[in-house]
Amino acid sequence: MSEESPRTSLRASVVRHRSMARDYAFQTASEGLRMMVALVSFAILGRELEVEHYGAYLGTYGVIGPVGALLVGGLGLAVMQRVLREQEDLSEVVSRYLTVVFLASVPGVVLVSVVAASLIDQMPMLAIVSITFSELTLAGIVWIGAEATHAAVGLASAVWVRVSSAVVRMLGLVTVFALDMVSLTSVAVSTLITLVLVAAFVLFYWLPRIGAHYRPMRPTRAALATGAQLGAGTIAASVQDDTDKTVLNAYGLERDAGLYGAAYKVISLAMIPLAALNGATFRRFLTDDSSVRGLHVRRSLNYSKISLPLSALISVGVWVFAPLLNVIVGDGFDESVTMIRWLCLYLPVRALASAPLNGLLGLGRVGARLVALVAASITSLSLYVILIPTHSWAGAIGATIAAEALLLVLTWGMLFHYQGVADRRHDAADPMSSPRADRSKRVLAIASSGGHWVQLQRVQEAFAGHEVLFASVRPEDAASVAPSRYVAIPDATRWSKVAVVRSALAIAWLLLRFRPDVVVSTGAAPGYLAIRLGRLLGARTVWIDSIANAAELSMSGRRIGPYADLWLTQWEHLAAPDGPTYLGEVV
Amino acid sequence: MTDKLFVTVGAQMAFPRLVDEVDEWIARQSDVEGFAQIGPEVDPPRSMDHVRSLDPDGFAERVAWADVIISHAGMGTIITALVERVPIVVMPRLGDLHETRNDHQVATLDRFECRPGIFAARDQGALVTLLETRAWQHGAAGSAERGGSRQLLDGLAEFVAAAPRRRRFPRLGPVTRGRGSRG
Repeated sequence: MSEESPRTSLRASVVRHRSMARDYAFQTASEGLRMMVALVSFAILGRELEVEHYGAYLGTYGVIGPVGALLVGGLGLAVMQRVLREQEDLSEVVSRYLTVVFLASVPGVVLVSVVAASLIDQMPMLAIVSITFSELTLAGIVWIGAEATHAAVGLASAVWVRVSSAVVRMLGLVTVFALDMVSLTSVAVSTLITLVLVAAFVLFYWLPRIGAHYRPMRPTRAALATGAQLGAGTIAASVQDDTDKTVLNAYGLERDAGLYGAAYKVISLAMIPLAALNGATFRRFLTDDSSVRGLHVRRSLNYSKISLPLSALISVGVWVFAPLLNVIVGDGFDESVTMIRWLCLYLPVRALASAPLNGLLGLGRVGARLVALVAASITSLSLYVILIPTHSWAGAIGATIAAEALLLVLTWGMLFHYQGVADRRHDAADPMSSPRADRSKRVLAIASSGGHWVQLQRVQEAFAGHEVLFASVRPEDAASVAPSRYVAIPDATRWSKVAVVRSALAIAWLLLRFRPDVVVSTGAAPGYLAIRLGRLLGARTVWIDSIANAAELSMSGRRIGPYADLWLTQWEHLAAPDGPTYLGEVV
Repeated sequence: MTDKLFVTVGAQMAFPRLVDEVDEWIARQSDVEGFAQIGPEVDPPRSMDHVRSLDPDGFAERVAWADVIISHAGMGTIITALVERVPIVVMPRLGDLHETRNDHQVATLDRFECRPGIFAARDQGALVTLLETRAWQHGAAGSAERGGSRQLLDGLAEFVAAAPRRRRFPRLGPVTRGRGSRG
């Protein structure tokens, strides 16, 4: 790399960026197309189906969703992983996973159909079976085809496959709509026919064309394991996202299921820009550089700095334009507008929860990430069953937001925890860290200005070899301790409560960021605050009473006694057994 | 040889009892140059250059320039004078005269006046006497070591070394902007 002339490395950089930009453009275009397709389908179904039937339709997808996530999503991801990471033969991998799809279809379709039929009264059996077979078997074939394309050819081609499939399905729906024949059964059959066409195309033409030749092949245990592992996360997410509609149906609230489902569909569409952002930056989370401390936390925070304002913006937009819902799906969904507005709260929570999920992947903590997803999904399902019977759609909304909030708390907590583990492990293993560095402490040396500051400087020699941060109230005092680091914080005196609060907040924030092992102060009020607060964070504390207090301790000097591990006075006659110690003076 | 006097009273409050006395004395001399940091809300002296307040660099400059410092009993100034080995004439602010909160400056002076290089002026009469006799020209200047007393420094160093290391959470970002931020 270092032999490259500046010109060739510049060109390489441009090429890399251009391909990245192209990938991002494709991703955005495909997401945009996906949005349009979803919008058209939503409009047709919303307008033409009765509200209850729409509710039943969504409820059915709530049952298919988790199983589909495993078969379709999980296996698809597994194909990618096996071909790219494990370097296995494309034909073999595709063969194995397609066989899984075929074998699992029979019991899968039967099981899902039975469950859906029992929970959802309004859905005709033919419709259930058609949709289930389409979404499990046929979609499985298409998805594996797309992922195989991604692995063998590239992202752009894979996107092409996925988008084409979605467009063909939509065309089927549009045809039914044009023929004025929209009903649950006709929609289901349309889905079936269009997907049979696409799956056949993929299986018999496209896959061989990219070099993946299918022959029946027994899936290995390892292959199943990978698929299950990768699918488990998507199952959890699917349960959380879709089963509330099912539960509403199960409790006979089909109408509310339809209304709530429409509202949720709008929110899902609104989430597409966030999903695009996630997809475009996803790969950047996965590289690891253990020598950079806090890397993954920082990445997640930086991502959140974009995703959170974006989600807030989208929320506001959705809130404002929610009444336009009836332009898309006609009248009959008026009550959904209120539901949409409540669901706006969900967007920022979701946006914040997505970054640490990626960060955990970067840290290699796949298991922990899965635990968080599963915990949130179990919580959401439980909350649905508890809240929906009595509170219907309000319960569904509350449960959805609460479960996502739980996910947010869990993932951020795990992210910080595991980042800390990784950092410590790196520190311990680093051959460059001398034994000295291992024993160096973080010292916060804080004082108000004037005499207190001068005295603090007189003892700074005692902290040589440690990581010292000085803090005082005047920015210009930074120069007197350079090159040591310096932070200015608001001053506090006894006379202004507001100033004390402001100072305390600034000091608390400083302590949280710097995490000192030791807090040293020569006074006055800011030092007192830093010692009290620092103690709460587990730091050891030192109070050096000002040499000016020759007759008696200062007021803060007296009160700090119980909180200072080392309580010092600079006058021998002021030392006492139950009071401060005398070690010496600063001058 | 001109005597250079640096008069300083701290930035919080003026101290006309000190500044005016020195001002009047300088007016009667011909070989004295004075510079005063006089604080807020007070009339400026007539025979000295003055500022209201000084930043740390400006203060250090003046200390280096001066042959003697004439000051209130502020701890920062006294320590600086001892460390920089500049003689200092100290007049305490009095609580009764509302020059400061209480008489802690008197107590400070009581403890410090025995140190070489520190000349105590408890009232204007004493101040004038010290000025007239140019007391700072005789006697040793203050002498202070490079840092605080050995035992204090050692005690602190031991304490820091023995302190346990807290859990290192990942940094949320550099604690200070600019150079020297780790990670």
